[in-house]
Amino acid sequence: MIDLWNALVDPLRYEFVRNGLIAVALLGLTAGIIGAFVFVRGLTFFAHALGHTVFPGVMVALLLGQNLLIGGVLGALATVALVSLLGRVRHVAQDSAIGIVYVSLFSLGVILLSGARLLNANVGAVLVGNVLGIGTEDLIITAILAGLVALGGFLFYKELVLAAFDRVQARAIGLPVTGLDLLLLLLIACTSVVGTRAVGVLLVVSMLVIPPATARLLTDRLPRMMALGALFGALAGVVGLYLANYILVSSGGLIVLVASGLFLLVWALTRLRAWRRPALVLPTSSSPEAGEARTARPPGHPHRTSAPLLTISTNFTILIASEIHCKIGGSPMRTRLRVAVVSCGLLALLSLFGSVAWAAAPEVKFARPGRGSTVTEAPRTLEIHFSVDVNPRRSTIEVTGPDGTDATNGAVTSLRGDADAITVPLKPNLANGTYVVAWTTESFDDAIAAQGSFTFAIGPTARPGADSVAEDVDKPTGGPQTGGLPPAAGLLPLVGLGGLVALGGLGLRRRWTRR
Amino acid sequence: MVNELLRWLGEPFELELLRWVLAEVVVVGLTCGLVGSFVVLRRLTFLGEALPHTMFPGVVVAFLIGGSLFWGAGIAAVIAVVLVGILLRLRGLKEDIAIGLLFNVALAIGLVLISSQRGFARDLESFLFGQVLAIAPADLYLSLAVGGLVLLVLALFDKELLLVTFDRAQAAAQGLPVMGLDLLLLGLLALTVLASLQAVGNVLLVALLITPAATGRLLAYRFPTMLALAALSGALAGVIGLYLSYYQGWATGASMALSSTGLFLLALLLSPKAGLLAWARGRGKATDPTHRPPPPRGEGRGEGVSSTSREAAP
Repeated sequence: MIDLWNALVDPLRYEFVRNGLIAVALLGLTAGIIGAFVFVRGLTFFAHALGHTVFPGVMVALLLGQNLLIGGVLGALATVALVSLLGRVRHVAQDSAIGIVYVSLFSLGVILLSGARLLNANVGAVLVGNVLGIGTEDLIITAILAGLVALGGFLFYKELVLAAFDRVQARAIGLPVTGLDLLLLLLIACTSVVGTRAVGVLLVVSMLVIPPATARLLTDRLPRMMALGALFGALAGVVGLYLANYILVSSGGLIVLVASGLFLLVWALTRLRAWRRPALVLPTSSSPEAGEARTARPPGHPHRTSAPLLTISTNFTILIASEIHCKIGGSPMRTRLRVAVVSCGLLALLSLFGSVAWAAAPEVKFARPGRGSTVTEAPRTLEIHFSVDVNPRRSTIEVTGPDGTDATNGAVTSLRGDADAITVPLKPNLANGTYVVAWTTESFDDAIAAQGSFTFAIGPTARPGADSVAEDVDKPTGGPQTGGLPPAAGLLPLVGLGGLVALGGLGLRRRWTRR
Repeated sequence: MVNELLRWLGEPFELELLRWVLAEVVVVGLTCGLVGSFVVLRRLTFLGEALPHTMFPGVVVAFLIGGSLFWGAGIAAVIAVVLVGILLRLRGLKEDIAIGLLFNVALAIGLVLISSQRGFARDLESFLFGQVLAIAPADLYLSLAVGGLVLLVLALFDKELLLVTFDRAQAAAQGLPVMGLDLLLLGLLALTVLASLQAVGNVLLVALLITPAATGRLLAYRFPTMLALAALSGALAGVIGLYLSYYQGWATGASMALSSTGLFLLALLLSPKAGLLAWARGRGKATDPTHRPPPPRGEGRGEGVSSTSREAAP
C-alpha cells in the first residue's frame, strides 16, 4: 500500500513530471470534448490531416525563429483554407483534397527539415512528442489554448450540435453553417497543436478519436459522451505518463495504448453486460445454493460498481458543464462571439509577450549508476539521462573518487542513439567508496544551461556520504526549483484546481436554485 | 546546349545504384497511379492512408527479430483488415472511426516497440519517410511482380472493376461477386502499399496513391485515359522527385510527394474540363461535354430550402 502510494507520489517531486501530467490531462479533457464532434461529424480523416499539418508550420516557425505554437496553428489554418478551396473544384472529391493537401504540406515540412539539416532528435520530438520536456511557460500557453477550445465548444455548443445533426434545419434558422464548420475545424486545429507537444503529430488524432469512441459505447447522448470522452482522455494521458516513468518507451505511444486499452476494457464490460442480461431474467431457482451463487457475484460486475461510479462522475461533470453553459450559453450569439473574439485577442497578446520555448532546461531523469545508490560492482560507464535532448559537446562530467582523484577515462559523448543522455567512460576497477559526480550540460534546442551533482557509492559496505542531499542538488541554473519539495506538495496544484472547480460549481448551483 | 542538358539528365544515373532506384521509382509510380485511381474514385483515401500505418508494427517487429520486413508487414495488414471487420460490427462505430481507431493503435504499438531500442530516431525516420536509396534488387523484383500482377488483374477484370466502382447496385443485379471484387481491390491496394513502403515510406505513401490519380481525374474524360494519365504522372513524379533529391539534396520520399503535387497543380491550372484557365476563359460555362449538373444531394437541397425560406420570410 505504502509502495503504491510512493509509486504514485514519487514522480510528482519533479517539476517536469508535474508539468507533463497537467499537460496530458488538459489534452485529454479538450480532445474528449472536441473529439465528440469529430466522431459525430465523421471528420476523423480531416482531424488526422490537421494533426499532420501542424508539422510544417512548426518547422517553418523553427527556421524563422518564431513561436512554434503559432506556427502550428497557422499550418493547420492553411490546411483548412486549402482543403475548402480545393474541395470546390469540380472532379476533386473531398477526401482526395484532404489527402493531397496534407501530404503536400507534410512533405514540405520534411524537405525544410532535410534542407536545414535540423537534428534528428528535434524531429523525433515533433513526431512522437516529448511531454516531459514541457516548460512552465509552455504549459501556461497550452492551458490557455485548451481553455479557449473548451470555451469555444461551450459557447457555441447548441449551434455546433445543430450544424452537426441537421444542416438543413441549421441553415433554415439562419445559422452561418459554413462559419460553424470553420469554427469546428479551428477548434480541432487548436487541439492538435495542444496535443503535438504531448503525443506528437503522428498520434494526436488518436486522442481525438479513441476516447470519444470509448464513450460512445457507454452512452447515446452527446453531452454525456463529451464528458465521458474527456474523462477517458485525461485518464489515459495520466496513466500513460505514469507508465512511461517506469517503462522507458515513447510516452506518446504509451498514452495512446492506454487509451485503446480503456476502449477494449469498456467494450468487454459492455459485452459482458449484454451477455449477463438474459441471465437476469431467467426464472430464479429457490434453492439456497443458487441464491448464494447469485450474491457471490464478483464485485467487479459492471451493473454493481462500475456503472454507478461512472454515472456519478459523469453526472457531476455534466452538472457543472450545464450550469456554466446556462449562464453563458443563454446569451445571444453576438455576445458570445464577442467573448470568443476578446479571448482570442488575449491569447494572441499573451503569446506575443511570452517567448515560448518548446524545450525546458535539462533536468536529470535518472542516472546509471543511480543517484545516491550503492553498487556492488565497479561500473565501466556513467550515464545521465535528461528530460530534454542535450548537447554532448557542451557537457562536462567530473567524477571524483574517494581519494580525490579523477575517475573518468575519456571524453563525454552522447549515449549512442539517445540524444537525451550523456555518458562518460570510467576507469576500470574503481576502488570501493563514495564518488561525487558533478555535471554541466546544455539543452540542444535552446542552449539552456544546467548543472548539478550527485553521488554514488561502490562496494557492499560503503554508504554514500551525501545520501540525504543526493537527490536534491540537481537544480538547473535559472530554472525553477525541482527537488526539495515534500512528495505531497506535488499534488497541491491539482488539489487546488479541483477545489476551485468544486467551489465554482457549488456557487453556480446555489445561484441557479435561488433564481 | 542539348549535350549539356543530356549530361545533366544522365549524370545521376552513372551510378548503378541510382539506375536501380530509377527503375524502382518508375515501377512504384506506375503501380500506385493505377491502383490509386480506384482508391480515388471509390473515396477510399482514408483507408489508403491507414493501411501503411497498420503495417508499421509488423515492420518494426520483423526488424527487431531480424525477420523479413515484407512478411512482417503483410501479416500485420491481414490482422488489421480482420480487426476492422470486427470493429465495424460494434454498436455505433462508423467506418472512419473504426479505421482511425485501428491505425492509431497500430502506430502506437510500433512506436512503443521501436522506442525501446537505442537510436530509434534514425530508424523511425527511415520507416516513416522511406529510404529509396537503400533498395536491394529483391525490392525491385518485388515491385515489378506487384506491378505486373496489378496490370494483369486490370486487364482481366477491367469491366467488372469499372462497374463495381461506378454502380454497385447494377453490378450486384448482374450477379457479379461485388464482395469478392472489393476484396480483390483491397488485396491489390495492400500489395501495392507493401511494395512501395521502401520507396516513399509510411507517411508519404498516400501522396503517390492519391495525387497522381486526382491529376488523371482532372485531365481525362474516360476511365482508361484516367488510368493511363494517373500511372504516367505517378512515374513522372517519381523521376522528377529523384532529380530534385539528387541536385537539391532534399529527402527523396518528400521530393517525390511534392513533385506529384506540382503536377497536380499544373493539371489544375491547365485542365480543359476543370482547370482554372478554362474556367477563366469560359467564366464557369460548362466546357466539359460529359459534364452534367450534379444531382441534388443533401447539401444542395439544404441550400434550396434556406433560400426559399429566406424569400418567404419577408
